[in-house]
Amino acid sequence: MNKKIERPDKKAGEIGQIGQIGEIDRAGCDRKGDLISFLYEEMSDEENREFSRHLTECALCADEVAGFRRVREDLGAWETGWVPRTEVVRPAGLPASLLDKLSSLLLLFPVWARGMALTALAAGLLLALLPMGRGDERVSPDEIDRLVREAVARERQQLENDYRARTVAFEEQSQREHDARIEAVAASCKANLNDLRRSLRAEMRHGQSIRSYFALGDGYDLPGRGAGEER
Amino acid sequence: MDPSDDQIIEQTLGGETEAFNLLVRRWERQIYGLSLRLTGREEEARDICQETFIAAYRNLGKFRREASFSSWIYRIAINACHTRQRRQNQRAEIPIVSNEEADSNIELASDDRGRSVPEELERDQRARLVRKALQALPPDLRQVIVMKEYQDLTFAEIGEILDIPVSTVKSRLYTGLGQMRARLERLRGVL
Ligand SMILES: [Zn+2]
Repeated sequence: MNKKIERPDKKAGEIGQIGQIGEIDRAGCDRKGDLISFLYEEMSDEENREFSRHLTECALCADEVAGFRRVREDLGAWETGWVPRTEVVRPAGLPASLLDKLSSLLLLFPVWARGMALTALAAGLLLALLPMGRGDERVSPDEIDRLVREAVARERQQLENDYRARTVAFEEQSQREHDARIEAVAASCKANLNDLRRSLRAEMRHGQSIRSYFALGDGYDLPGRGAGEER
Repeated sequence: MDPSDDQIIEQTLGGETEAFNLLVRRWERQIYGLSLRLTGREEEARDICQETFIAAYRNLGKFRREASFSSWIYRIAINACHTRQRRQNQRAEIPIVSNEEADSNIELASDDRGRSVPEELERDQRARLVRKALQALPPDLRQVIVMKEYQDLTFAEIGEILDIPVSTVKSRLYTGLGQMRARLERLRGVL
């Protein structure tokens, strides 16, 4: 008897045109509505008894009830595992605009999580941030999505700016330290140089006097020796 | 006694923002389960779950009491799934669940249910097949199957959420189960 029954999919294969095929298949018995009611036990006792009797006489319906019961058993195998938690919270002292609220919410997350924070983690928290819906202005999920993206982008920009600012500050600082060190070295060099110059000058004065002492010998009278005599 | 959904909504609208958490606790497993089975992806399901509660929270004032809160929030979640999948289809023609992804995404069910290892493996295998077969269904068929099998809603409740008659719910279930059966048999044949 299974042979007689052509399963819808064998013929149509594709989605969309199957609506009538069930009816074509059931030429000879048109009790599919009752069959479904029977299957899901949405029947009065009387109807149930009557249809049970029908099943003993109608191979088509009997086969289908058995087949559908197997499908239902299979469907029962798919269990949901994890269930999300959505929570309404009312954070205290939030700033006025929604964007400000989102930004301040973002600050609650560590930097690495901020990028994805609101998409999953904080979407539940968002409930609290939205004004109640007695006909006031509406925020669609798309808008929330956009706001979140903007807030995240802003947050990232802010982080980048901070980073850049810190880099610049560091560079300036090290430049200043560098300059200061050079200045210090220069100053000590200058001081040394001055010392050197001073001692050199002193030596030179001395040397000058020596030199002049001797040099004067060539054509000049050495002081104290014969100069007075010659003059 | 636990407050009703309507009572919690009143409290929330009255300014007790945190009361909304009760509603979230009460419904998040359902919403996550629905999103997971509709999209086939954990990450996506998590996002949709949160989006759904954000949307519900924001629009709580517009919630009409004619519908139950559960229908209302299911509807929000289903719309969110739609929107995402449309966006994804526009982006690229990628299969909803690739083999590798499906494989890596299936969590090994914890054995706190007292199952043996072979039982676990067998169950895993089946879950993988089911996931594949479900993702291959057209969205309108997948929806009703997921809502009936995993959310345990009545035909009437599904009809209310999807805004379709009960007869349509049933015919979609019928067609969807038929396609699932064929696909599962084929997938098993390949293995
Ligand atoms: Zn029949």
